[in-house]
Amino acid sequence: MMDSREIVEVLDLNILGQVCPACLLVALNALNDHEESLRSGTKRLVVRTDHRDSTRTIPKAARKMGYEVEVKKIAG
Amino acid sequence: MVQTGLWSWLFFYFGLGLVVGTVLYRSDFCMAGILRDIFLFRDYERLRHLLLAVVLTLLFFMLLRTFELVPANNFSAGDKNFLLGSVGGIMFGLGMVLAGGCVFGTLYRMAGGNLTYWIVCSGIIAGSLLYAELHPWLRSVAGNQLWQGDVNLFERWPEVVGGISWVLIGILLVVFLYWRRQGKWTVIAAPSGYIQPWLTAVVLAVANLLAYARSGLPMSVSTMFAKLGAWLEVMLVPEHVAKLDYFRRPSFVVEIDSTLFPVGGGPQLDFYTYTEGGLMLGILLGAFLNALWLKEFRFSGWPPRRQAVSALVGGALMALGARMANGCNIKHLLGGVPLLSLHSMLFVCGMLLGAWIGAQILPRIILR
Repeated sequence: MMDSREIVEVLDLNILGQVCPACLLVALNALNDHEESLRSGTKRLVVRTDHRDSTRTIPKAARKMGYEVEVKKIAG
Repeated sequence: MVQTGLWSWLFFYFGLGLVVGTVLYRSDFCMAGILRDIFLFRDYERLRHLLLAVVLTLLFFMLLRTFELVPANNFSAGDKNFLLGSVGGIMFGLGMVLAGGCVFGTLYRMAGGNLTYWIVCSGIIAGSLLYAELHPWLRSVAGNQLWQGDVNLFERWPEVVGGISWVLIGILLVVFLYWRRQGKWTVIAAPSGYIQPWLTAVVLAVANLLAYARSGLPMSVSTMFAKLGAWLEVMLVPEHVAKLDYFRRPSFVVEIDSTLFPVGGGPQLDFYTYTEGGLMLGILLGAFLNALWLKEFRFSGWPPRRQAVSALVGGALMALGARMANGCNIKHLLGGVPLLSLHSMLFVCGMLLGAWIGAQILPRIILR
């Protein structure tokens, strides 16, 4: 998705084990903290969650804020 | 004499549970979340699904009652108390927001391996046991004696309330069709095997129709947690359990085809063990099988400490509220309100207030 025009820093947000609405609140916090670099594309935020509903709520909120979102299911 | 009959109840409710567990899990139909997100994120998207479930159930119940196709209305029986009902509602609403799920939500997520909800479940059982200790005192408080008994609006004023209900159903069905034309029913969600929540709402309404048509009672499950607690406590301190009024005496008597079934939260293997127990097992197994099928079952990590405490306290508050009001949100919102019970309406008002309070407190717990 991201092309290699510059080195992108990946922010890893591990919220495994957390549930609603903590997942969304924590993710929104991270989005706000790094808003500038995320918007300019120098950073990417990777949210790792095992809470099923978060794969609906977090993308929905982020899209509303104008971010591009991708959801991946990782086995195991 | 009815032993064989009781097993058929178990299979009936177990079957309902399997179906309900499947749709709840796949659509993540979380009533606590739906109500909380209204206050927390001003997100009304999923409120429609809950409204659909309640209105469809109202339509089904009105049809059954108008054409007299049901056994006696067993819902109005038992301890209905307006003060305990509304205060119970507030505690329940606050509890479910702190816990992150109502009683159904807790069951289907436990079955997916989510340990937070195992904590909530322990909280619900602990809260039920705490209620058993408080029961004599709560029932003796003077204010609770004054407003005793349920008022069923439909039974009290059949013509007026019946007429209003039909008009209301008609208007809302038109609104639902309008939303359909606007494409507002479809939820965009990433999980594989996702079932749209509107379908879950329809399934919940049909399941409640079947339950009510057969037993004169809408679906309920929270008393079963008290029973589980009672069985645990009997193993540890049997003499103490034998002394507790709440566990000794049935809460009320269900009448089906002139057979009487006393039911309650005590350790007895009564009618509820088969109906609520069957439903609980069905939901757990249904959700578990779906999680396996979708390759999503795993014991997910232990929550951070503050969230774990919130889950435990929330579970206990839910149980206290549900026992005070003689039923949880499933029984009152999906069953009692469509049956037009005043007690249930008060419970739901309390629950909304409680959920609002919860939404004010919760971010402070999570984000510090």
